[in-house]
Amino acid sequence: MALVDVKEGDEVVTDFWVTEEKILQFAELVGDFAPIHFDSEFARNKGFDDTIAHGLFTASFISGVLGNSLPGPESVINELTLKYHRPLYKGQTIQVRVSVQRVVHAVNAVYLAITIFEKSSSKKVVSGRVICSYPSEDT
Amino acid sequence: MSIIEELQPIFRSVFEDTGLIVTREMSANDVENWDSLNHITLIVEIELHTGLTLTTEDLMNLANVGDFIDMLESKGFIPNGAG
Repeated sequence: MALVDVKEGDEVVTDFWVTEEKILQFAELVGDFAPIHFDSEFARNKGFDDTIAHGLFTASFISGVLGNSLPGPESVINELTLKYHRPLYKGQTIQVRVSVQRVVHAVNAVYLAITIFEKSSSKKVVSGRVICSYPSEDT
Repeated sequence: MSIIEELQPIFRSVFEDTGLIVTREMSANDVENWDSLNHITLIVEIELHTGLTLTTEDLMNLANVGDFIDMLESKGFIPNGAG
């Protein structure tokens, strides 16, 4: 998808299943084995129902939507801002929603809103905004 | 409030300089973090703030912030508290 194909109101919604294996793979990738992610008793003592997924693990699913679908493989992230609303647990399914709020043709950029919901409850887990641009060949 | 005063917080945020004083004479060469990526972010944030739709032509031949402010004014932008 190129900038010319993107318009305000465009939206993509994609589901991802959060498994214990994926959380472990993420921990190995980034080297974050904090007990809140792997020790159930520790997590419960901190007030959670069980171990929670890493915040950046949850947010990482945004990457797949941005890069594959909207604004697509020709775009890059310029700026990303996120706010966390509630924890994510293994076994839950998240729904990543990305929607175009504004297309800024003057600089080949797109401003998008991001929301990640826990699918079964429709409760918001993460919200944010992202500015993506389409680098030209001479960038 | 002038346009520069109104937009100064956006410049400070984009260029990560809380003490930045924006002047009409200022250009990209005067601001350490004014690179191509931050330039895109600046224009997006200013479009979002002003509600104006800028074109590539609007951004051509701008020598400094003063020219940019004049362009915004010519497109009808009125700062808060003015007009």
